[in-house]
Amino acid sequence: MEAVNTHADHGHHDRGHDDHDHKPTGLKRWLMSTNHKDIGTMYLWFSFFMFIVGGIMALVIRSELFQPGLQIVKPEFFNSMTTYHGLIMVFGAIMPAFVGFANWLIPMQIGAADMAFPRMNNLSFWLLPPAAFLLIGAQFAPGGGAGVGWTLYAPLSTQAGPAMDLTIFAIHILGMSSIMGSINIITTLLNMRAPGMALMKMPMFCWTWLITAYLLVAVMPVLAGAVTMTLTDRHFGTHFFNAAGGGDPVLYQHIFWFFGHPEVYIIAIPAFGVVSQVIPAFSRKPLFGYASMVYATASIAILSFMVWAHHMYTAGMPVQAQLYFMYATVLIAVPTGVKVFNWVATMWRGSLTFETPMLFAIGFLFLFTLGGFTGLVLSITPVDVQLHDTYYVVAHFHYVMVAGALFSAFAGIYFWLPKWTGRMYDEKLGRIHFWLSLVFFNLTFFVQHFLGLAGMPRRIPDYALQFAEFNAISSVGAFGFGFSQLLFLYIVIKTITSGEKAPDRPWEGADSLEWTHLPSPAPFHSFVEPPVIK
Amino acid sequence: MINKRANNRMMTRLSIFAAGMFGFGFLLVPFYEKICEVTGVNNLIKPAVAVVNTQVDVSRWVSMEFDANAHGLNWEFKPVQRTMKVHPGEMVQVEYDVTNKGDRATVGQAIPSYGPNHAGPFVRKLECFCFKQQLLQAGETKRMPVQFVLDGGLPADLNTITLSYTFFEVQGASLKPTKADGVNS
Amino acid sequence: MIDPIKQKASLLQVVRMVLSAFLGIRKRADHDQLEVAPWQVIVIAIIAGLSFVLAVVSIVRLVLR
Repeated sequence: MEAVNTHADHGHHDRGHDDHDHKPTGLKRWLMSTNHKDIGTMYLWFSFFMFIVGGIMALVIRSELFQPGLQIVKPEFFNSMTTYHGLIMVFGAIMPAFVGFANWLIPMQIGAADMAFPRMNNLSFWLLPPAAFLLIGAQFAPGGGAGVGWTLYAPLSTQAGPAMDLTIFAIHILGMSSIMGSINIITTLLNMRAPGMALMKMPMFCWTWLITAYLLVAVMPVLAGAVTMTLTDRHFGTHFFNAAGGGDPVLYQHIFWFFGHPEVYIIAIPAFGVVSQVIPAFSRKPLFGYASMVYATASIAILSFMVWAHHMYTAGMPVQAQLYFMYATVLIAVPTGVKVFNWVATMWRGSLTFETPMLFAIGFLFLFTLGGFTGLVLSITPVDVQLHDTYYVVAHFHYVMVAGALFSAFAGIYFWLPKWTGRMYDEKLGRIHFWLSLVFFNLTFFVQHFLGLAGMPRRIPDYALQFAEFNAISSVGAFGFGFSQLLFLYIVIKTITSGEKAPDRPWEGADSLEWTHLPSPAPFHSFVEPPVIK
Repeated sequence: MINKRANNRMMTRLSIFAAGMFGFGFLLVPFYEKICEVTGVNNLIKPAVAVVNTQVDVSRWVSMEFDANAHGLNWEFKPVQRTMKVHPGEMVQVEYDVTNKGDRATVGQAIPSYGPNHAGPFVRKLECFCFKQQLLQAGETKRMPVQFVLDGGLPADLNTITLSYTFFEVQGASLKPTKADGVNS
Repeated sequence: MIDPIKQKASLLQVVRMVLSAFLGIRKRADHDQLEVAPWQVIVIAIIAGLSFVLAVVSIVRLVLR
């Protein structure tokens, strides 16, 4: 990275290009777009829309749980909300958000004109809205949404109503979209780099996406297989998961988590990548241990295939297997720990400033580590037997997903918004957004640790009276967190419409190609001629 | 553009890889069954460890002698095996043959006796033809089992036990065969 | 893109590289001086991954003995 020369204000060939030449207009621009920046923008807006939809579902859940007893929704609808909240947030919000980042940034960071397959890129985006339509439309299927949990465990999923078929189809579509997106990203990263941009000179974000894309190509088809088996069990008389026909419902859990554990890293690793760009920029130091970060990320990816059954200690497995998965899980925490130390070491003795992206990155660092530690607690089999399917697990993975992935996405959006729009966001409002998010996030989820330790099961619409106080606190926090995100929407819209003009390189510590070689906003066509990299 | 062919080749490879992983998902099904079969982890009905009777006193042998008599009955009654060496605590099954030599159906009841007499409480019968009355049609032959365990508390000086059965006729018993009757042969 | 100054990595060096990657610690100097073929890393990483599994399995056996 440091090999890249900093000629921010001289010698780019793109400058001559007008931003607006060759730019199609109107609806056609978006529907038929093959431009990585437009597609990236659509991905980001789509994921924000789904984030709001999933967030409303979360607020339905938290409203019902505000007090013990059944007040607002029926239990079936509640189950459907927990299911689709999870599916929409994972597949509709977080994953597309990072694909949006990838689309925007990867070609700019490696000095390519566009993605390797621009038309496939368009297709992989436009597969998402139908999938979203199916997921949301499943609520209106006869019998309501499928209340089976986002993991879609058999035998519940093989017996659920027609909504399940819509859900399965949506997952097939989302899977195809992810696989095509990943093929595009891998090919772009391996074949389209500008001369001189060696693999080990790529910004960390590109590396994390290369690894993530490989993970996606490897595990999304396995999930597609699992839901296909569910579909054929439901309609075509197969017995993959039906014990009465010689199948085994636990088999579903094994196949699902063979996908599911790498999926955790599919979400986390691009977040690592964003943070690895933001922290050095605001510490004004190169990333500490760049090479070791690359290798640690790769080894996390490989080892993530070997620990899947720690999600199913209570499904019934011999003690040998429990011990194996426990030891292996504890051991793979080591490379993740090394990454945390690398980020801390990057900040060590740096000239730190705390603009909004940095605040979110530090928030990520702090809370993700906390989520990692509760993960270690859960990896201990005898403890997990107690905590399995309690709110402790809910708290754990929300620390990883929300404070991990979402905070890092916020950091990335604030960080690159000046490059994308050519305008600065409102720093003061950004900081308010950060502090509101941080406080309300912890208000929502920290107390859920206590609920879980006290034995409150997840996915229930009603609960025993002793859990009332913490649930009330958590619900207040959830509403606060949800409404804070409207502030975020306001900040983004305000930036686009009336933000101050941003310089080409608003962050002095940022040194990847999009900052050093391109103006703000990045032109519609960038790096038509590959840049010169020392 | 020079990249184009390389890009297409890479797309083909990655697509094949993705299709292969889709197949791998299905391959996990037989793979899973095989692992369960080899490691025996999925036999939830069968116990993981074979049940071993820890109450058998293998250090000690006791001679069992089997004797059979019929009293006032035209029945031929004899054990299949006359003697047997058993460990205390071991489950033993022996069989007796009985034939009705007479020309009418008769009901008989076997009464056990032990020699020496104080060995009686230590012969724990679990299943015995003597538990119920036996109906034999004229000329009918039956093979009847006895299952017993020698109690571990058997006095040390008792090395030989005689188990003797005597059949007596049961007067006025119903001559209809009942469902609960022993195995006919 | 191949840098003529770089030396080809020996098998042992690649093994060391992969093992240190599993720990997540690697000196930048290592990679600057060595030319490593990707297939080398992949093969050794898969072998190392498998031996990691086998090592954990044997620890489990040891514990349960």
